[in-house]
Amino acid sequence: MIGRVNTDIQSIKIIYNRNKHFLIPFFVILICIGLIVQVIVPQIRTFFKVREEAENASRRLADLKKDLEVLSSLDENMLESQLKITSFALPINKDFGGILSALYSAAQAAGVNVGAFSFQLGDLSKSEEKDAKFPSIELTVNFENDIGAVNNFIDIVGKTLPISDISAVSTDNDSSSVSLLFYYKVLSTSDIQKDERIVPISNDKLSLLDKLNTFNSTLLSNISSEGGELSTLKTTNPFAD
Amino acid sequence: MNNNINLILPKDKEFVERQKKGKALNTIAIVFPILIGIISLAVFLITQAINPTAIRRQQDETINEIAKLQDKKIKFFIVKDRLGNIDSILKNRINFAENINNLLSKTISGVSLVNLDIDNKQVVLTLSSLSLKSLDEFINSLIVMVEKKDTIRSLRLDSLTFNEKENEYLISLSSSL
Repeated sequence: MIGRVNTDIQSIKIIYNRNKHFLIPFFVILICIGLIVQVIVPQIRTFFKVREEAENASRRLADLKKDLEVLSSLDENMLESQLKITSFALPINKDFGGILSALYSAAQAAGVNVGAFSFQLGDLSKSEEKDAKFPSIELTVNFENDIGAVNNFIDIVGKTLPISDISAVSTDNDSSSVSLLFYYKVLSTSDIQKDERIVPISNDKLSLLDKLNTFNSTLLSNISSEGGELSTLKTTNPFAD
Repeated sequence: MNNNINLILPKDKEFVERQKKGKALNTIAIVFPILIGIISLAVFLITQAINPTAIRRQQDETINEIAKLQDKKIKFFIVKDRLGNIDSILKNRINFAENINNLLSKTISGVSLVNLDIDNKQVVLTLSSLSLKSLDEFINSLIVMVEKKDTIRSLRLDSLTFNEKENEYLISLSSSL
């Protein structure tokens, strides 16, 4: 059986009188504890959050400054020339003229006669081929030359811009046919991320740029050294003025 | 008369204890709010001091400066994108000229190439010769290439025919690259 505690007003008054000087400090401490929970703890949380944000902001600022430094240090003319070379090497669309120029100049340099050729261009109005990593234009060229001369052509076309790849070679004694793939790559907006860091071009890519430069100049020097002139190229190239 | 009568009520132990507790509680009640105030103020001041607003302002300024060079930035990204892709293409490109040269370098006198078909995966060679010995020598040199994994990885003799009219032997070989 639960015993009942019998308290009357008098008892409460006695207890109150006995402890009333404890009450104010007790409530002050209670309020202070409440303040700790309600104010200090969130303040400390905010402090850590702000500190983290400040660290991130500092890092981002440092990155941005580095980006700006890299960007400012770029030589406009050099960048323009790099852009021309790389865009010529790997066009952003089906560069029909560039392909024929490369074909004719390589043939000229190799001393082979380009016979009939056929293109597989696909839809000219369609600029984007999402399926292929590197969309390409396939070109089959026939030569009335033996494998030695055609191999020379293959070697030169491999060092000619726009860049191409050989997919098949077929030859007999008198004639040969070479299937070439000329690549292009559409530049999509996703390729350039808004927040992408501006990292200087790596040394191996710079070497590649130099190599691409050589591709072009090798071809031109080949033509000059073999007595050919650029004007000859222009007359052979149906796209030349 | 007894002189030892004490008229002042003696402070019992409990009373002294309670007074001590009361004093301690009062001290805590005074120090605690002051401490909380100091801590709160300190945290507030530190938070204000490390506030990233100034850094963000600098960020915005830098972003604006970068935006002024937007044209340069886009060109730079295009160059990098093209270079990455070109590198990937060139690395995966098979050197046909070298492969053909390597194969042709094995042809010996008396053996002539009739036909050569080569693609990314295989090469098919058709050769003619008046002598089986020359053809045998040529095949042997190709076998050495296969063993060394030089250009070709396998070799198969598809056919060996004799052309009575031309009095020559024709062999057809296929190899995987």
